[in-house]
Amino acid sequence: MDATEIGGTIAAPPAPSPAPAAREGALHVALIGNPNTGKSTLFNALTGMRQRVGNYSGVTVERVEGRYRDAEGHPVTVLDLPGTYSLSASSPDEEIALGVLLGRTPGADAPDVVVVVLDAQNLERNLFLATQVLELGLPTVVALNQVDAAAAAGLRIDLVELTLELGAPVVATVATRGEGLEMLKQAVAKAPGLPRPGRRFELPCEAAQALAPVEDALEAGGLTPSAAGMEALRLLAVRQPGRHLAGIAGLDEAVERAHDEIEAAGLSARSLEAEVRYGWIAEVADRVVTRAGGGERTLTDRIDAVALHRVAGPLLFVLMMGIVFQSIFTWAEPLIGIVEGLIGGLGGWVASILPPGDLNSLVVDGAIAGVGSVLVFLPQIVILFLFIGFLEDSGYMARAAFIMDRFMRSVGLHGRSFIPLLSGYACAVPGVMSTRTIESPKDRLATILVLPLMSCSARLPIYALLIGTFIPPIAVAGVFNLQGLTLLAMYLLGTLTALGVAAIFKRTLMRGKARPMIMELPPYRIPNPRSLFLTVGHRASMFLKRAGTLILALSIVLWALATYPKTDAPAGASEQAAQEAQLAGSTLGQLGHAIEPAVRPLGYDWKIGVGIVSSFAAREVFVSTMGTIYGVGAADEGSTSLRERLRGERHARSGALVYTPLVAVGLMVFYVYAMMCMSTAAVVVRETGGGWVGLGWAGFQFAYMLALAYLSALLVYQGGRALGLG
Amino acid sequence: MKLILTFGFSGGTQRMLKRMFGRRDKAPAAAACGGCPLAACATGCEAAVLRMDCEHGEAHRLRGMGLFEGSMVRVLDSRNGMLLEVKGCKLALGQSLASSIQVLPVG
Repeated sequence: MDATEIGGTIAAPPAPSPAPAAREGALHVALIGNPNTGKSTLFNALTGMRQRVGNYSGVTVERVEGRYRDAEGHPVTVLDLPGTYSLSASSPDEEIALGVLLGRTPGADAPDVVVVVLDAQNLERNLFLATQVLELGLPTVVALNQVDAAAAAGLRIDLVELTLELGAPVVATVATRGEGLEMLKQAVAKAPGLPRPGRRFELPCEAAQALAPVEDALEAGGLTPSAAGMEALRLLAVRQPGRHLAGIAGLDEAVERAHDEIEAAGLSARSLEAEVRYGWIAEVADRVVTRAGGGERTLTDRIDAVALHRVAGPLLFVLMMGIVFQSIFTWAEPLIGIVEGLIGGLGGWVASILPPGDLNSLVVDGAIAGVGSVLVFLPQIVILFLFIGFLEDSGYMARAAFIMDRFMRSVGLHGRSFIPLLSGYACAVPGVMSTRTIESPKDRLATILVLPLMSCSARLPIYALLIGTFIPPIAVAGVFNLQGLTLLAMYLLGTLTALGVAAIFKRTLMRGKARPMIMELPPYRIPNPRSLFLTVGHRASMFLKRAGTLILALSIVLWALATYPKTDAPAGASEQAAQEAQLAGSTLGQLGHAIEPAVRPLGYDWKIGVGIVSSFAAREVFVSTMGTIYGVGAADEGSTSLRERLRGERHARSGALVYTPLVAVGLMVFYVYAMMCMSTAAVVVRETGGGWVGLGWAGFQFAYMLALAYLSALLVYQGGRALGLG
Repeated sequence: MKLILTFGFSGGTQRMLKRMFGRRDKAPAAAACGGCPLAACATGCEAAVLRMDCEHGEAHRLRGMGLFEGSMVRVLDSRNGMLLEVKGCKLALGQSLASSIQVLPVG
């Protein structure tokens, strides 16, 4: 038999005991493997569209579950565990992976079958994780993936020999082309009836003796004997039990004692596991892998010669980011137009069939407008995640993080924080969602907290209205225009503040030893379109489900605030005047009056107060509220009637102009900093842990940004006046 | 050239220049005393890992990625952090982490 024949599988000897009685319901399978082994592609190929994405309780580790029916029609659920290099439990992802396999993660039963996905091109390194998983003693199937690429690189792997060495069936697969899947499903169905795998190597005698009490403690804590053996060896190296082993009596002491005994016997306790495992793996690899040729420069090496070049590398990176950034702005624009058109059309149609009155207004101005304000984010989310997915799957993302790491480290963040921050220029919502690629929880939190300081596209209408109205188009230094420079200054202000605040957070609230960069640069490959679209689909549906419901509810609340109590317009007043009077008399208008004392030091009157209150949900609402409250009807940032009205607006008592360029600049600075976006807040709640913890972080973020906004606007206005400006 | 730099500039400038052109100063071969930090290895150098003095969790993570006491690494790029080849994979390590790994260069 050809050693790397697709789908070849060898059944281990027949089970000595009868197969366990078929369980009620579905067979639970867990998929585990190193990152970049094609594990997720294999998962997608197995389960197709039948997937569910959620979170493990209390952590932001993504839980992806799918299902399929095997050849006999039995249902099988597949849990895609986070990619991990070893069962070391040194990050939340790895802790979850180990906890699930041991059946000690709340809400996730121990799997009936484990599928370990190996990259055939990197068998030795991948086998490290595989040996750990096999030692847990669960029914296990090994999927040897990417055998086509391995064959192309001149590697031949003897499946028969590997099956005998590992003591578990090995199936060759090419997940991107769906090859070997049926064989894999068969092997999974048979796995519970096979003898359990276990440890295949011997520990040095002294070490085995020293570890016995640790294993006893673990078994007393509820672990199976084989799992206890694996965990004891891990604890010797890491010496941190992790959350899944919390509450096992006497464990820490037993580990300390074993450590001392092993060191006293002249062995290195910390490196013992790696030495014995890799020692055994090297012997197995010698017997199983045959190399023909190889050693020449691969395509990856040639691309990296450019992508990681001292000069060309950063240039290529800037070019890539330019394309991503530009496309979020420009490609999304027509799609956003379509979404807005559809929502507007739906609103108009509903308005025409419902009798005029409060119900009509609730449905059209509250519900449909609220849903619309959620849906307009979809184009940007989809485009950003298509790019991020493409960069991630192609292998370039790791290079980008490597290139940016030094710069980001100077503000205390990781190289992977760069792309979420950059996408914040377009929209903070997908930016916050994309922070999941940041491994360290503290870096991730700091990135989320400063991300809304990047000026997003929703601020642009406000900048455009105020700059166009109050900043004169004077030429500066010949080529520049004061209006353009003001806009640039707003973007720079947000960006520099974001970096500065991140540095402060990382030195105070989120202090802790910076996690050093440890990153694999995987070989380049062409992303699998099916996997890419499934990932983007997950993101989009997650956003709609999580953020959508909350935003809809808040939109309706805001609608009620602007609608009640009712004010009767004076007879003969125009429709615009009636709207103006209604808004002024509503709860929202009263709130504007109520906060007037607070905003007066910033140079604002109660009408601007109403604008600010109404834009708590979405800052771009400021412009349309201004249109309503100044009685010019539906207005956008380019509307001349609104601009003229703003220029001529005077304080009721003093008669002085309300808006001066200084007030306008102060107002813009306020919007650079203020976190006025319900959608972002909703996503932040989710991504910082959900529930009260998430609410706490979102509340903290809102509060610090509002304080920053208020104080800066105050400084601009009062400082400017003291200097005799405005 | 080096002499001029050494005598002509202040300590700070020297340090900066050293950082910019520093890889020329890196020892390609081991000091006789048995080992040097991985961070001191030049591009192209092959070395055996002797000791990992970093934090336990990180060391264990690295072992899972094929970098452990006794394993061989090849330095692909030493300018910008460290880019290594470990068991056929490319691995990027931060400078500080690379300084805490003691290796024995072998060629």
